[in-house]
Amino acid sequence: MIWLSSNSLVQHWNRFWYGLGSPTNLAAARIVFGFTSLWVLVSRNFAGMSGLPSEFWSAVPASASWRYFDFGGHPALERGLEWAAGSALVCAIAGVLPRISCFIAGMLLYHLAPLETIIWTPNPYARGLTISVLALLTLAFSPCGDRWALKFAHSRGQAAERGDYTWPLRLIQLFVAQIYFFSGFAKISHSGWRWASASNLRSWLLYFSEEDQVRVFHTLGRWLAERPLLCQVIGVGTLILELGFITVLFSKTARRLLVPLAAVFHLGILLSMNLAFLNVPQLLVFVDWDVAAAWLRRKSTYLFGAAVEGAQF
Amino acid sequence: MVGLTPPAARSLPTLRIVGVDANGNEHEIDYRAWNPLSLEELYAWLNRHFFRMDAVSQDRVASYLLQLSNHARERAISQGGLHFPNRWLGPLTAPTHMLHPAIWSHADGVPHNPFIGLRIYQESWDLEVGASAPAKSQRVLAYEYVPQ
Repeated sequence: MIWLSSNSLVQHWNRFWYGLGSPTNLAAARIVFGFTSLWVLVSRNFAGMSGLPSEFWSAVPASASWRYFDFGGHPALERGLEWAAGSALVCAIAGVLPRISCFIAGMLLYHLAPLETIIWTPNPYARGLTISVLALLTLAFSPCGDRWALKFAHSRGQAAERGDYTWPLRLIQLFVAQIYFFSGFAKISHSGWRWASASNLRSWLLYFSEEDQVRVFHTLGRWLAERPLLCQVIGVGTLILELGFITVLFSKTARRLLVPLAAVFHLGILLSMNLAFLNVPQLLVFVDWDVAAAWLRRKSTYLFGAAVEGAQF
Repeated sequence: MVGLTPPAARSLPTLRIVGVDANGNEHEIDYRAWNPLSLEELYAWLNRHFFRMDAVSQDRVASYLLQLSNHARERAISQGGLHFPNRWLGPLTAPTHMLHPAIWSHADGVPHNPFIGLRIYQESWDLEVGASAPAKSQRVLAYEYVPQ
């Protein structure tokens, strides 16, 4: 009951969003999202989608076009915007005017990303840029350039409060964690607990192993499909992981356990079902980069130290 | 993935576009041929809108797709080969949500005769039997394009 008192809740709330934060972790989030967004951007042909024959665009609702400012028949303009988005992302990664770069990249990706699917749906979910747009715009309103940025990026007159580094990172972590939670929630609400049944998992594994148009890897999926107990474990384990992943926001132990597990989970899905999840590198926003950098420094000191000693003899 | 697969027949419908050469032979088409469209978006659009279009519009779309597939076929048998959506990244290009095999990676596997038409099939098969048993698959010709 004490824990639930309003004072206590406010304290927990403030500690969660405005506790002591690290400028390094926020800078790492900027670089991680910059790289993943750039990778997806240069891998797609958004301008080409704009240049499709008018029949492809004939069923696009006006509301969707106006919502994203996506209209067919402007491939040259879209090409220019792709270059602008790419340049902004490079600047964001390097830390050149990082907040402005993140803002420009976020706004341009908000416009460009839906071009991939707009001919049949205005919702570009699972295409790799939805979370990036939210994260880049969050970074634009945070002191994300106070570490790992080119010197002249520091235009701030004074150092940010430590809490200023916490809320944006927490928000970005929440964006990533909710992917898993709502994925699990959608399975339960759409299919019920039967989603986790061995027969359902077996059917999906067989489908993605047999359909030759999506079959790149086919050995693991078939192997798993022939083992009902493993299918059951995968089904239940998937729901536990997806619904439980949200705990990484609050628990260091959960973070250490579930974040690597999620990476393995995606690797398993890739190899058994031929489904790629482009947000996987974004799990790096859960890494404590201060600790990682200190560890690397220790290692390099040890290695270089040993080399120097070796050279003296 | 969110849904359950159909429990009884265990058959899932899917589309397939094939190229037809002057001899009437059908050929599979590499997913990269449809750039800027990805295979998922193309099939989703075909399912949702294409089959409801009037015949003239359908033929205009098919003509565009035939042009894309022949252009890709020519590239695939050329020295440079068929590019990934980003030619500099090559196979490191970010994949789409579903992976697709690059069946025109080697010139030997690429049809040398130009396509003169396209066919779109709706296919399904019994998951327990396997897709590799064509006699057990159901294949319905949903649309055929042969330019006049």
